[in-house]
Amino acid sequence: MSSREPLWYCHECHSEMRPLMVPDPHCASCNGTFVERIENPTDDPRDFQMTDPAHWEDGPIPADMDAFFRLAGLRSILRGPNSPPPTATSSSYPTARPTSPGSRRSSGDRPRSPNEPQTFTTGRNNDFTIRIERSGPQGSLRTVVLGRPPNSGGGTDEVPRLSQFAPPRNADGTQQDRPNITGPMLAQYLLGFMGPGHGVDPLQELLGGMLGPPGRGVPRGGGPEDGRWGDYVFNQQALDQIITQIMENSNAHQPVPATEEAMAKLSRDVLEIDSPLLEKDCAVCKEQFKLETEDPDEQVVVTLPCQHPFHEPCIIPWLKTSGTCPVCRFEQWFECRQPKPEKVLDWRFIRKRQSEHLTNPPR
Amino acid sequence: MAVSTRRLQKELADIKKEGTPVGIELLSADDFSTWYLTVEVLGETVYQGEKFALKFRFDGQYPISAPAVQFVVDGSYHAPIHPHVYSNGHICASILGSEWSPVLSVVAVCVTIQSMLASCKVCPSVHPICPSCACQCLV
Repeated sequence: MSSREPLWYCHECHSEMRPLMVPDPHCASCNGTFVERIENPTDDPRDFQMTDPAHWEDGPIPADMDAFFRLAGLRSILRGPNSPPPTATSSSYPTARPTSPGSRRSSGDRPRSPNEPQTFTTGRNNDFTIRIERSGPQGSLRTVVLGRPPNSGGGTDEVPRLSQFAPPRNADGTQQDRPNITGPMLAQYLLGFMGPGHGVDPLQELLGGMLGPPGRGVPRGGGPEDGRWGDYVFNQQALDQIITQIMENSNAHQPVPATEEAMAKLSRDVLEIDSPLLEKDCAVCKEQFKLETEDPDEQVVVTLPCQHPFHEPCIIPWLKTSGTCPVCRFEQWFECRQPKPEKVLDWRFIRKRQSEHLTNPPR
Repeated sequence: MAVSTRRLQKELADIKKEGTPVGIELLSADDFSTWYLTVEVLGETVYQGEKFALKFRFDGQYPISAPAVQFVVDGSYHAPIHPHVYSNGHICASILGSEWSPVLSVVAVCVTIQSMLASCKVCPSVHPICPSCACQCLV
């Protein structure tokens, strides 16, 4: 093993590979950045597969897991509020009773038999479970299970895709109508905070990333702020980055035509002698509206919902290209646009359009 | 008469009647398919003293479809060194693609490109080509 170049292990797709090293080491097959070099045979990451049901009950716990339990928030879940903090040499942690869904409080310590499994469930859908088991006074056979219980949908433990998280969320990052973040996901994220050089309270940083204003997160290469921990993101910057990636992949920034139905509903006026429209111009052909025209269709003026008027033969071909007002770019077809798969809006464009609309009010 | 012809006639008449903005001149407009204009960047910029030529090509659908605009690269003119301009004269600008609007005109495109060049304050010799430019850029 010493003569060969060590393999790497990807914690996101659970494969052994040789990573691409530029700019940071990342998995050659899934592009994940949660990769680890397999160096120490006694601490083989392959033995720690949190999402593989076949490995639920066995496998040594990496040393880093101790740090996991020092996370401020989890510590208060795992033990009673008045109990002393665990010592570094302690192999067993203070016990607590299972909590009911939605309740994170656990009152006081109570002795338990060493082999009794403890299960902590959070979230209203019981989708996230922390289970700790101990056996024997040596404490060497702890089992830590992070994730859904093995019986809650076998085979569905794949890393969720971003689309599953696409609907709007509550302020605390949870979703209203859909299952919560899966356990493997959250565990991956929390493990991401265990990297060296962290002086700040990880939970505080986690919450700061979720609740704080955009840009508050501490930038770290390959960290959660880059939005690569299993495509799950906690702050605005990372969300923008992912949305931009999706935008580019789906060509959603390309113009979307207006529907025939929407065009048929537009306000149309036939020019008359006293019409106030006669003082205005059509912004497409740059001509003033007038009564005497070669083409009788140019007597028909279409006024878009943003109140910008155009010759009907000027604006209809444009709307068939792009359902926006040529003057203010206002998208009047928001509800009646043709459905487009994976239509994702780029917030930069929305803000831009809104500000343009505000600075150029309809005449 | 094609839609583009009528609109370009109107634009040409306006240019001849009202002139072009400072730093922009009409070089030639012999037909309604290809026009040439020159652009100079005013003020203290990295392009001081340089004059660039823009080639506009229009199809019959103009102004519904955007004109094809690029810098002229020949014996007399060269492309400006700019993160959004390729050395062959190709310009990466959103208003020439997905952000085109028929409200824009030949002169408006020239002004936008002039402004794009004017905003380039960094010495172009050390200015890298914008890496995201090939797919999408916002001018």
